[in-house]
Amino acid sequence: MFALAACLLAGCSAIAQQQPGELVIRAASIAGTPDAPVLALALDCRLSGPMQDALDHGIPLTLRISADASRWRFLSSQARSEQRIELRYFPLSRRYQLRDLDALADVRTFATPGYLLAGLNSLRLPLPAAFAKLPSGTTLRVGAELEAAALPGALRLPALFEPAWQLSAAEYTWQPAAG
Amino acid sequence: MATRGWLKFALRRALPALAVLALLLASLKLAEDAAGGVGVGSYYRWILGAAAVALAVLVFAIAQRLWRLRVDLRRGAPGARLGRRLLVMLVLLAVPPVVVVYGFALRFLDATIDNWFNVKLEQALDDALEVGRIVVAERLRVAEQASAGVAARLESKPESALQEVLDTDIDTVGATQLTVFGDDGRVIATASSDPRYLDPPLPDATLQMRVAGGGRYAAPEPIGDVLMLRVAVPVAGDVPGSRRLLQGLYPLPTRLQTLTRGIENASFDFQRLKFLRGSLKLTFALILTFALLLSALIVTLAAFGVARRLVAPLGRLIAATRAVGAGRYDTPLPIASNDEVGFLVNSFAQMTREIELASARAQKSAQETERQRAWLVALLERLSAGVLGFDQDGRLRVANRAAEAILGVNATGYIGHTLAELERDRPQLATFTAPLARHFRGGLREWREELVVDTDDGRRVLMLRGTALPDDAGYVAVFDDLTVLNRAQRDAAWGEVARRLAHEVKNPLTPIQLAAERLRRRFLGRLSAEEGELIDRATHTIVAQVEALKTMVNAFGDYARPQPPALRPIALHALLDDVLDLYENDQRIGLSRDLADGEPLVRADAVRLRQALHNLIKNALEAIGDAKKPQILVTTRLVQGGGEGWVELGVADNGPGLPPDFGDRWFEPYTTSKVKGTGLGLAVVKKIAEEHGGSIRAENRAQGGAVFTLRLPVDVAPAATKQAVAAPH
Repeated sequence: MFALAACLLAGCSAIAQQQPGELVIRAASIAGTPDAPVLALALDCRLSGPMQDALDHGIPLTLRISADASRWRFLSSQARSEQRIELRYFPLSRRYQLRDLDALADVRTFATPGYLLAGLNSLRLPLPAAFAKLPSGTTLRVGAELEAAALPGALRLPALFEPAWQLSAAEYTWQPAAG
Repeated sequence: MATRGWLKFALRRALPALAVLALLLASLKLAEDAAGGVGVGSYYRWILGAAAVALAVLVFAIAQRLWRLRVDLRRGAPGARLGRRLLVMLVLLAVPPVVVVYGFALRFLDATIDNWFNVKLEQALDDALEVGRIVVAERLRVAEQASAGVAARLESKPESALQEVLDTDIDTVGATQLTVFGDDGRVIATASSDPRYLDPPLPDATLQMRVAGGGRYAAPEPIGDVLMLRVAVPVAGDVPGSRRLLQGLYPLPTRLQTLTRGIENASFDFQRLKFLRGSLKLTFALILTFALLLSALIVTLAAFGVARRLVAPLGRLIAATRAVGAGRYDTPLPIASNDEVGFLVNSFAQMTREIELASARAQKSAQETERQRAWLVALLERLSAGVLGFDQDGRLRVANRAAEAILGVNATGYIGHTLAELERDRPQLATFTAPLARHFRGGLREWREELVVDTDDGRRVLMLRGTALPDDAGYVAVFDDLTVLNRAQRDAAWGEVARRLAHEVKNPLTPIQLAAERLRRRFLGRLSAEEGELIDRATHTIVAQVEALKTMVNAFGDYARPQPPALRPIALHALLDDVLDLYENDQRIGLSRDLADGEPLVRADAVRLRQALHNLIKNALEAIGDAKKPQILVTTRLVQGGGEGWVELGVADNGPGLPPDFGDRWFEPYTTSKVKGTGLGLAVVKKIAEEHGGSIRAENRAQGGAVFTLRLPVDVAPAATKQAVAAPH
């Protein structure tokens, strides 16, 4: 019990010193054709130390990108989409991989984590067709966050309490031109 | 009431049980999730919250039970202390092993997780990974050479001819895909030997930059779930200065693909576990802590339940014992179980029934005894004879009111005391206690004796009879006050004498006197001087003695006066003033008075009271005689005695005092020490005192002389009556 209490105290102290990561939606827009709209998303991402360590030790990090179109917040959505982007490292090839989990063909590999995070600056995620036919006045909201539920079970407790495992972007909103 | 009962059941039973279940499930799920089993995903925080709530519920349930136990202890509820002792013992028995197991489990977990990360194993995995990289690099060199060959064949060819070259060479070089990109990144030609790779992956900026610098790009890349060799080489275009890019994707042999994937996965898993080591320890420690708390709380709750189950029948038995102790035999007992407690309950029930029967018998007997005692007490209290009961040791046990009245002592205050102690406090009762003690010692069964006892109210003649009780139970002494009886008999006799004297003696006196006077008149002038003188003296003597006899007979008449006194409220001081004024002018007498404050009222016959006062003054003057000038002091004072008020009228003189043998008989007729006295003065005073409910006593004064004190009851007539009282002129 004393050992556990000491561990908890030490853990609390270490937690307080951790630098959290950063995730910002720099730009977002609807592109593509009316039949196949695409969310063009530019994310600025900086991983915290524990996240980078986890990535380098083969633990995939999943970003959940949610898009929602509605005239008023909290009212029923006119269109909604949720996509997952996986960041992963392969030790044999020493390559970082950026993959859209919902579109398995969309895979990009990078030689360094810097390039991997730079790859987040130019994401193109397929959206449902409803996003191409939004009436005027509709507000689009895009959010991005690290999906804690996709982490290994052992990491869920730290992800719940440690700031270094908190990675969430402020919601990005805009009103697209009538389609 | 039903809702309240249901709520109570939910709070005390169902909720803790649900909390235990929730905590158990949460611990299992968290353990499974941490071990990499079925992930709980986004429900993780809810499971953690549920576990915390369940813990709080259990802590609350225990706190509630502890509070209830504390309240029971404070109000001394039956079985509460036993319950607390059992609870402490059960918790002490159960919790330490759980804590020890927890400590060992933590230590074991820590050691086990650390043992996963063997340094040699890690080195081997790293080496295997490096071998894989070397093999892949070798294959990459071959693919690079092949791509260089294809690029040479594509040199300066028009775009239309490129596809043919690719189609030809793709099988030759064993590539999965060959693609030629233009300067603008446009796909000019592509060929694929695997339909899964029809879309060529676009070269990214890094790749383009490296190739643009005149170099080549060759690297193994995970494409989908497969490791491919990607080679990019520049190709000169058909237009001078234009450049193209040949990108080739080469597969690894299937066997090599499997092996490298296995090596990579093994290294991957190792590194992942290595990274998760701390988190795993923390998570398992948390789960173990949940398990510890769950066990400790369940043990504590169970201890409460076990203690309650064990103690409840004992508690009810204790309550029943208290009730039986307080005389309530109808207290319901717990249902007897088929164990030692049940045996105890049955035995207690049987004992209670027997006690109840015995108690009823004892109560009935006590009531009967009490009735007998009350009857005996009533009987004793109504006896005119004094009764004293003594135990075998001679200690007083019973005394009736008559005994107290006769002896003039608060005998009840001497209950438990011996005769010697009574005699020590009241020495004047020695003539009573000494014969009693002597008879006790003598061992006679019965005795009878007449005693003369000096009490506060005077000398009394007692007829004492005693009996030793059977079985050495003690003694009973019964005594009658013969004083009043004797006095009454004497008074009656003297009254009869006085009446006969008045009747038989007084009648012939007048003819004697008349005859003597006639003799004197007839013969005094006829006889010689000498004979005449004789006749004169003789007749004078006869007449004088007849007068004296008349006076005496009148006195007897007064004594034997049959009429009852006419009682009415009298202002005593006013009456005293009236009487004493008659003596005030006599220069031969020194009369003084010392009267109490106020005007005491007495209910008296004024004539009789005046007579008593005259007699007392006359008695004092006769006692003083002619030797010295009489000094008479008349006093009054108010006293309390026997629960009522008295006024004591004292007549003191400066005479020789009372004779040594002065006693009650001096208040009887014809008892006097004076030459001139008739012997009736004090007897009349005593009779008047008794007619008024009072008494007369005499004693010597310290400064010389005697004092006679007439004691009369103070009148308690209403104030209005008293105001109407005037001096009895």
